[in-house]
Amino acid sequence: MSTAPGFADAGTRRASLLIAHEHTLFRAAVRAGLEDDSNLVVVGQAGSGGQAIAEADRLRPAVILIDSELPPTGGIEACTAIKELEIPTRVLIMCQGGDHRLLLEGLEAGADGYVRHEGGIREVIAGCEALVRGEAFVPPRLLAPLLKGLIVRRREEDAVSQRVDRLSRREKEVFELLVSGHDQQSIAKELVISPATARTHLQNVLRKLDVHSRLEATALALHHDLFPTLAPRGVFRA
Amino acid sequence: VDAGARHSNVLSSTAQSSSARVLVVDRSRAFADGIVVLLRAAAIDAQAADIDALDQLSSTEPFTVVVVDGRLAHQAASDGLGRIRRQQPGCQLILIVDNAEQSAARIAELAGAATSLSRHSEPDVLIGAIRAVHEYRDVGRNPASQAIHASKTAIAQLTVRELAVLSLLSQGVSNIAVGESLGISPNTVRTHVRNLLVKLNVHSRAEAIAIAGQPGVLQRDSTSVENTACG
Repeated sequence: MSTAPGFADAGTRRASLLIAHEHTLFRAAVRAGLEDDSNLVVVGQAGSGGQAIAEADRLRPAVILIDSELPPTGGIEACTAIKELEIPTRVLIMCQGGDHRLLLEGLEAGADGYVRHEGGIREVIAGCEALVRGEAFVPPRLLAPLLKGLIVRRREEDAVSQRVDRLSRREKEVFELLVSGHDQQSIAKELVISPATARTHLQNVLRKLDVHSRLEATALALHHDLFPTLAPRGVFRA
Repeated sequence: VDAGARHSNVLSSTAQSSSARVLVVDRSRAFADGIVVLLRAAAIDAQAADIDALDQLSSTEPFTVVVVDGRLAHQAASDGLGRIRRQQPGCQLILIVDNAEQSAARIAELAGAATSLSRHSEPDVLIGAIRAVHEYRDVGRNPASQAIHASKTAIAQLTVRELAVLSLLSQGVSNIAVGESLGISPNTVRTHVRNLLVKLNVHSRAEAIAIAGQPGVLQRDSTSVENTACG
């Protein structure tokens, strides 16, 4: 292979692109639009997350354009898996509207940029070309929802950390054991206290965290990554 | 399509066939832009537009075919198809639909679209459909075939049972005999008749039978009607 990585044709330096979208007609349309008016060449297509990952690994394109609704589990999960391949391919997520949760999840999954369906083929081209140059790409229309998402997330985390700060040292220990899968009996055994004391600690933990069940407390801890050594990353999220 | 081609030959003395002018309207503007490039590469004059910016179209010449997002047909509130029809009267609609929409053909029929096409289609299928629909357009201008189209659209709203009743009525059978034939009470038959008169927007059985009797109107469902009637 004499071709430089990410470039389909070393002579003209056309950057290679993989399109991942469920629909054949969409892939054909965007391919036609891109190749008509840019220095990009579509080297592959994928109709599902599995195909996208396999083709990205095989073709190592400069950029992969992934639709946020790519079946079966959405474009964000495909992005996560592609980033885990540790290949130089850069990921551009294509979305409809500006859902701030989706934007944040994409960033956390390692996406290098976004384009909007509403932005037309010009925005797709601009996004691909920015990523080829090594830049990130966020259309101005998405900046507001993205910042809003970051602020919302920050506030949530502040609120959660305030609640966790209310716990005593002993209650934190109990909480950590609960999150790691212990029940009342084994918590008592572990901390060498009576089950009744363990129960009291657990009740205080739930009250101070403002949750209504042990399951909810555990979900809160995992969701906000309160015990980084415990949470097995990659099972439910990146 | 064959019938369409034949008709346009017949009518060619009055309606000179011109080339298609296509408008593409989709919730994904990127998709619409790309389709336009594909169509132009196939020597079809095409333009993309957002549903909210139809009145900003620079072109004053009307479009003959509008390729439109099937999702806009679902959004009754925003009346996407209605806006397109008012903006481009006389155009033929081609709905682009998900395979998941099992009722795609029915949606297309109710929306008065010429045809519907899966998003999983190859571009050639779309190009073929545009050419076929454009040729067929001249037939659509013929008042007689327009009446038949309207009748077909009305008939499509009937349930299988109502179709069975209508089919028997067309044979001149009484309510009692229809009931016996379908194994239902005369009262139920009367209800079916009342409902189908409303759906067909007619005031008497005679009018309903006249609509059903138009060539090709009941053809599509004739087998299922017979099966129901026998069973």
